[in-house]
Amino acid sequence: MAKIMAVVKGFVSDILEESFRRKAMEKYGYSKGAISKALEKAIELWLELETDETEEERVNNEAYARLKEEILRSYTGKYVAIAKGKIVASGDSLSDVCLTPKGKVSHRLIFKVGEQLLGRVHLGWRVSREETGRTGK
Amino acid sequence: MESFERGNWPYRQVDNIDVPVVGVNIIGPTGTFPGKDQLLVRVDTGYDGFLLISEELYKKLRLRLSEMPRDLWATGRSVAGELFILRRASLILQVSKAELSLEGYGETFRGNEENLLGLKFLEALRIILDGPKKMTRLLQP
Repeated sequence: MAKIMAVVKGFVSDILEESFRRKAMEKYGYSKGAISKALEKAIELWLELETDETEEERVNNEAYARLKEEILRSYTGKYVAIAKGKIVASGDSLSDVCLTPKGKVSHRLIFKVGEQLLGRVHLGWRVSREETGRTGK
Repeated sequence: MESFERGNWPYRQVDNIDVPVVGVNIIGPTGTFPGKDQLLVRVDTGYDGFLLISEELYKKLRLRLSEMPRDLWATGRSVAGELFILRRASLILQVSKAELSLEGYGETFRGNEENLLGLKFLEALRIILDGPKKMTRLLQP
């Protein structure tokens, strides 16, 4: 069945627009459909990122963003746990902070402060996406 | 070779192909998985990360209780050029045959059904992939 296409209109900064066009052409070639393909992919990824977020997850990530500087100053090299929007534990090892939570908690942030992790990962030959619905909560 | 060997895992059949595996236990926020046995996870040097886990297992282990901030999530790229947002959670991997406990992370993406051990994990082990014997051999450190 042919896909029905829709038009999306909006405004972005000229710098973003230029980078987007350049990247789309690099990736999909200098053809008419390149921008549409790249836009579709960008929207898919954004939706994937946004629609799986629970309220607790949002609160914890906002707390992390707010406390990031303080966490870096005070806890570098340590593990920190954030739940319900505040720091609830810290320790030298993951087992110090990664305990079964008490009470009704459905999301927690636990991470080693200052650890350098790969931002882009090659997934290898095995990996492809199985068609499923959205990630459950 | 035998005198240097600490243990081994026979290759496992996946889709009629024998693949190298390593037996691990995952320690997450709700305990150890699997309880008694080991989880045999395929070794994949094409995967850069530590542990890729299926979406189902990510849920089962309740890894949202030890998740990393979104700032620390990664973008994954398949060989076909598909991009995926990888949720990441802190966890401990135990390799009991190596008496090794590694602090690391598990990552997944929507629709993922694979469990894989990648290059980050392999940095901690000395192993030989013994093709003719179809065995992953763990060597003395």
